[in-house]
Amino acid sequence: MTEELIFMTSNAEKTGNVMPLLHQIRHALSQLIERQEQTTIDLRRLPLSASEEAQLEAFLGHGEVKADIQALGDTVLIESRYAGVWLEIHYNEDVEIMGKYVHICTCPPIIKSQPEDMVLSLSNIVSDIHSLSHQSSDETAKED
Amino acid sequence: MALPTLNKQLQAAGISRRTFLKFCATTASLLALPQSAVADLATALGNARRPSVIWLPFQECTGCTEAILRSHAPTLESLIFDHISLDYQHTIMAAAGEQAEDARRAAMNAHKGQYLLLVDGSVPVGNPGYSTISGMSNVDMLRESAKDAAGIIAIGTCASFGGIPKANPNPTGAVAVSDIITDKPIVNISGCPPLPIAITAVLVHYLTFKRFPDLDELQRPLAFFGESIHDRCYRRPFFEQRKFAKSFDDEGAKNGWCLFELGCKGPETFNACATVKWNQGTSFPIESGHPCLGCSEPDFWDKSSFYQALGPWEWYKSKPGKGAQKHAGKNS
Repeated sequence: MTEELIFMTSNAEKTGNVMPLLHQIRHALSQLIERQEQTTIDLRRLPLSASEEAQLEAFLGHGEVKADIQALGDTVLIESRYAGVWLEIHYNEDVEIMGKYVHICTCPPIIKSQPEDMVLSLSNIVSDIHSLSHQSSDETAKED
Repeated sequence: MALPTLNKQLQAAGISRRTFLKFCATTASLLALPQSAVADLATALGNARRPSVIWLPFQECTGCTEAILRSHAPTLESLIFDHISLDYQHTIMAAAGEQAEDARRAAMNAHKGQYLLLVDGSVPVGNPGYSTISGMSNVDMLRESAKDAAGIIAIGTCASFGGIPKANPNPTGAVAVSDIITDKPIVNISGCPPLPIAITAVLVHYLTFKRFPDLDELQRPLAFFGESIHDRCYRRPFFEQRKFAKSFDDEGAKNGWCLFELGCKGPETFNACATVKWNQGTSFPIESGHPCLGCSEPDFWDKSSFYQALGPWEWYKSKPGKGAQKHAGKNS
């Protein structure tokens, strides 16, 4: 059944949207270089056949960076072989694709540590250091 | 009684800001909002108060409830749904009878003018005794609960358009929520069952922008109902090439050709099944080899046979105002 579905999808005719999309990416990259203007292209909103999506991903390829983020399902970030062009795929916990984007930027926003999370981290690290220092004191007292 | 903000609620549940941003990015995509709006969406949504929700199941088969509650374990797309204050839903709540009704009235009093009303199932008005809850007819309960609601979300085709209970000869006199309540904002999220993620997205939009999203002429969110199944169907190229399956086991069917001649209602059915899909994104009916039944459209049960073609290909191709063109320039 799975093989049949793949066959059916791959048989579908092309929408012809790959080439315009690649030109859009090229234009966005030049805007990033010239004006530091970031662009995000939401692939889910574009009609692309499965084979065209694969064609786009193959064209972009893999560059130097790949990041996995675990946030209620995986998020995969791949810098394409064109520096500044990133592919971001959000999965849910059932490994269903929830979002797929091409970012033209120096670093996709989701990879950055978030201020709200850092505030919580500070509180956690203070508490953990406190626990560790208590633990060390207890061990020293036992040794004495 | 002010409910906590969503930020507080998520933080208490150990949900990171990054996860929340991921949720906002995917929801913005579903709502056809630009990705540049994600940061603003996160700020507004995070500061929104956890909404009080009263959910009334009326003349229904519980399929809508099943679709929503069984759709996914607590995951990204159900993030908001997990954090609403669901103050009444008699099918799943522990309390019953007068205790349950007391909970409903207490929530209505505490959040007067602010709570959202969710309704699934149609409302029998032919004889109100056909469906009662704790001795109260559906129509009376709807009127009472809607009076102080901020807005109403009609879930499923029965609540939106009457659905199967309204099918000929409509023995109970079933009507849609919008046939009874006319002075409140109403969103219809039709489908038998509806796409659960459409409900989440509408809640997000409401909490963020304090209003429901843009709607089509049947009061359905355009982001999900703006395009027909046919518009986004992966078999569409075969339709254009006039390559049709003529029976369920012929070569055309095996090759995955268009199901138009087998009665597919995709060209006249507006919903996002072809892009959002079902069963954890596995497929949608056409991908499983069955024509679309048109379940998110009014009176779908009474519209000819499920297996009768809409018409000849030439007729359909020359028909104006179909598919995405239907909504061009509307509700912008």
